[in-house]
Amino acid sequence: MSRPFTIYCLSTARSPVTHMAGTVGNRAQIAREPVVTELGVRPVPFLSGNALRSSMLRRPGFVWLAEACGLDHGLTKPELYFLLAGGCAYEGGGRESTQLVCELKDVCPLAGALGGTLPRQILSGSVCVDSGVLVCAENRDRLDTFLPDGVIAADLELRPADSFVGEWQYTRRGGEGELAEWADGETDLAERARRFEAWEGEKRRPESPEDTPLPGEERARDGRIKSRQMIYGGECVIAGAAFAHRITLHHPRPPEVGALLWSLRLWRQQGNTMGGMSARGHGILETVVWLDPEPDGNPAAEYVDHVTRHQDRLADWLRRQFRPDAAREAAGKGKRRGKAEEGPA
Amino acid sequence: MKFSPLLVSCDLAGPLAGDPPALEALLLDRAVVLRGDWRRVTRDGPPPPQGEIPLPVGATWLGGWLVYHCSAPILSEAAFDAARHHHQRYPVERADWLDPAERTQVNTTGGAFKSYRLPNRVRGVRTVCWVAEGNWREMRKLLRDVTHLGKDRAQGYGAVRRADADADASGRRVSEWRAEERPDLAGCWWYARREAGELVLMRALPAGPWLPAGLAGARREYAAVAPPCWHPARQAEAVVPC
Repeated sequence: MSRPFTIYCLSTARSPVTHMAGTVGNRAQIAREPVVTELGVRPVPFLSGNALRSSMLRRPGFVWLAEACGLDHGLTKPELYFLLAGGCAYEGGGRESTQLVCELKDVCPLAGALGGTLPRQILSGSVCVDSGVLVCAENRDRLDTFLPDGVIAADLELRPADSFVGEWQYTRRGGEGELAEWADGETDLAERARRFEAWEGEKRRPESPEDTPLPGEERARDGRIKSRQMIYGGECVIAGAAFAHRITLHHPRPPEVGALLWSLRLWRQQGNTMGGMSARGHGILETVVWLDPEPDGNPAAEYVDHVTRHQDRLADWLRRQFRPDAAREAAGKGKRRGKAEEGPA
Repeated sequence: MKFSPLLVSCDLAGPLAGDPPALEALLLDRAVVLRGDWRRVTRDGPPPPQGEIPLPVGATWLGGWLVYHCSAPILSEAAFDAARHHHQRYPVERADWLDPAERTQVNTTGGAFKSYRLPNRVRGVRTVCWVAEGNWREMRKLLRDVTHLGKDRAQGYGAVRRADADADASGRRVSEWRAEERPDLAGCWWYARREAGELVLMRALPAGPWLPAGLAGARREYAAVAPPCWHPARQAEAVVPC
């Protein structure tokens, strides 16, 4: 197949999306890209293609692959780096092996599609993951490129990007002071329990300026007692906003199409999250997907079958790339053992 | 095959990173893919003979190089010129996958596992165009699946705007590449004449006595003048537009 295979996605935020890009003062700022509009260049929130590529494809796809092939233990540091972040070249290059490229595409279609860096060679992938374009008035004339026809009606009035930007704020307990008060050389658990009860009792007393500061509080210069909690916050794209994004696979082969669809399915099963603060429930997306062209059969199931059949080959291939000495030694032992077995008993 | 002077162009749906490629390089890349032997050439081996794969654009031998009748890419005025950052870090959260003997400190400020935040220059370019002499019907067959231009295409930079469904006979939406027949631009793929009368260089050409005297907008450089431009054997003494 020489025509590109395209996956169109429309992701609607079900919780605030905090795909951050730096801070202003102590407030986190969301990533924005300049967009040319009729009114000039406007900064519009977006999801970077690099982050989408990692969250949607590489992480879920390779975590599953490593677990399926028994590669989730006993790895070297460069192997782990290659599998989960693309790797880096740390040995002399200068030569490129076409055999290596073909082997990789055969043994690991996902790595063939996404590319990666081996110790001596960079392997280019064939997937373009576009950035997530906010469905808003500023992006109106770009949406046709990233979505199939008719998804956004031509007469639908889109809201400006600014109306999708909200704020979040959390507090963090002043832990250091509190710990210091509790850990002043005191090791007796009974004494600690007695003090805790006293503190609880004190806490229930109505507040008055004469009160002594409780743990987590401090007395300000003006004599008043105030909380030592730290406030932190920033911007977010509010729940309900939608992003259009697209994955284009060039020169697609069925195992690579299957690898992408399977990774995408895993991402959706594992929470469909994007951006930071996911531990606090941020970045949950609900994604609708369109495929162009609609693939024949079930490529994802065929990919799973392919991996199951070739799981030993992937481990062997990885060892040959990252531990050539160990692989040669293992091959030599195998040969010697083979010769011994062939000899007279 | 009938060739005519064309102004080939496409609109971009997102920012452009780096520079767009030469038109003949784009055409050659797609032609090789359609032939099915796109894995064969690497930097390590010899490049394919020049002109081995026929392209639907005119070409002339110049100083041992087959130079195509295509100008360098011409960009519309950039609405913005900014930097975006690309991040990568070592996945320490999966340290439990490491062999116990490998569970040592990972240096993230230098060495092989250095975390990085690389700046990437991006420009808000709306349209890219090339002046060429070619056969648009054949060129379009090759160009319709070119979805991204420039650098860092894997991260979505340089996305080419897509056309309506009816733009393709198969009903599939394809990249919106356009061509305008422009007899007034005949010959402008190598040099264009300014109003003052002087000739301006429009693409990289091999340096030599064949270059016209008093050529403006040119500087000497070691550069590729024939595709595949990434191959070291294609580098030559050349003049490039500036």
